[in-house]
Amino acid sequence: VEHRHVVAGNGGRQLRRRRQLSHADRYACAEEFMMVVKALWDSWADDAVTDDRASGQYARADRIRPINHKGRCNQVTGPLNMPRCPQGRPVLVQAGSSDTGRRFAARHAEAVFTAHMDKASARAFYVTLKALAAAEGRSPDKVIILPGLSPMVASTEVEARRLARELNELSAPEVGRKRLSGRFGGHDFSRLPLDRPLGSVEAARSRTEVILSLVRREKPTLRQLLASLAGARGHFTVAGTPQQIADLIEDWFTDGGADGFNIMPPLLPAMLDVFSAEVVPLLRQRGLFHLLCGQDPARTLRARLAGQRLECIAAFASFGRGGCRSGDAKKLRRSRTRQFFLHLQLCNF
Amino acid sequence: VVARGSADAMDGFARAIFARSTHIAVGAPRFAQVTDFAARHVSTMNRQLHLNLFIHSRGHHEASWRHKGSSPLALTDIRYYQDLARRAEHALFDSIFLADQLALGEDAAQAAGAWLEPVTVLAAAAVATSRIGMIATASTTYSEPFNLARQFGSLDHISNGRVAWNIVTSWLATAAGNFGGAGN
Repeated sequence: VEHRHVVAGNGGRQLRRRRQLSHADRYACAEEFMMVVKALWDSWADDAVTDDRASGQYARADRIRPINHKGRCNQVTGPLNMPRCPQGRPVLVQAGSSDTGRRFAARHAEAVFTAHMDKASARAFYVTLKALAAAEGRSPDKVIILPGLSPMVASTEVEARRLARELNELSAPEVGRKRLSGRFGGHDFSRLPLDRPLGSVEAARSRTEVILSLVRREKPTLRQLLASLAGARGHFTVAGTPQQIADLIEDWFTDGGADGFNIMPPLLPAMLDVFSAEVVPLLRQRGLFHLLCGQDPARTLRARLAGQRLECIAAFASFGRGGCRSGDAKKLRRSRTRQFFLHLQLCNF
Repeated sequence: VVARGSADAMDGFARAIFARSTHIAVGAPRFAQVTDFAARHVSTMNRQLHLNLFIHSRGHHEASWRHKGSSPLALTDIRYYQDLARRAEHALFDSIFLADQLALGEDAAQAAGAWLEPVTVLAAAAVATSRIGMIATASTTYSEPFNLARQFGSLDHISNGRVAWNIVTSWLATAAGNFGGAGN
């Protein structure tokens, strides 16, 4: 997610020609690339393959068409040499935070990965991208925004912090220094003392704004800064109890900063397991995650990203009809919302 | 095809329920309370949290690879990725994600930053799972559209419709050196 610095264009023989293009033209090439790829995926109709042994017809020629694309950056005749895939077109995801990247995401992406170290910046990104998607004539909720979150989870906050410190102490400062230097256009940090608070730092790119605002806000030493970047390369890292992590997720999710999260466990598989066993149940109890629908049937990723609501509403339709078990009275909370959530769980939709 | 068709049908069904509950709320006071509740809560319930597992090295902390608590498997062992995919699927995550780089990092001697090619890994993860989505990074800069459409199309067939492409329109300068350029 951190490698989007240099060129946009294309590969192979055509790449060399395209390298001569200006910056704006390279993005035009990326747009053209998308057009070609989509056309190739669409070059076979859903019902093109008949696979009919008796008649000897495998596919209907009139349901497969060439794309005959002749553009500035690509010349592709098509069609694709493969029947249409189950989703028609695979789901499109993007990780763009530059201006051009955001516009590109607003045009094409169904899910977006993004990096923010605080909720305010996540909210600003969220609002901007949803508005850009709407301006492209797309429904804003068809673009799912997933900020990165790297949670160190333990039964107490002290233990979570101890674990984070343990990992930081295993980091080699030179590695972090080199990486930081890469982010700041090759700036040499080798003379900077590790343990004195940082003053002003000048940056070359917008992507480094995240780091700059952290330096301004918290005035860390270089060692502290490297430690906070070592966690997840500029993504949001947090150490705490399951309760604290769930609170944070709920807060960003309900306060317009995220539609979900790109979970980046600091330690694999251990921190994934702790997250799944301790944080996920809290999210379910709060009605934020799969409360509804019990076991998830096999289906496409696109349906999964867009369609969970369908089962919820179907489940809702049976609410209040006295179906399913009435539930354990002790488990029932007073609020109707809780009752409804419990109903869904008991009904096992 | 069938799956797509029925999803569309359900979309219509869902809209119908929405329309009906609004209508009843207006027309029938006895039902109004229940449907009012629907109107208020369906919108919040509708919005379900999405979780993606980003798989990177033995964890996202740069020192995770040497921590005693991380996986003992080699980072070139496919079982490591298949196992993580299964765990995420079991926890009801929507998807797993693999990023990519087209050049060896400068810190390769001290960081576990060399990895398997993502599309290949996801093909193996696809056959080890049945529900979870899978997202791989690929570049428009260093791929031909025909190759890319074919790779992700194949992955979508192999996984039965669970694949996404993370579009990267640009890349590290060092990668150019591996594709006939001098690096930028």
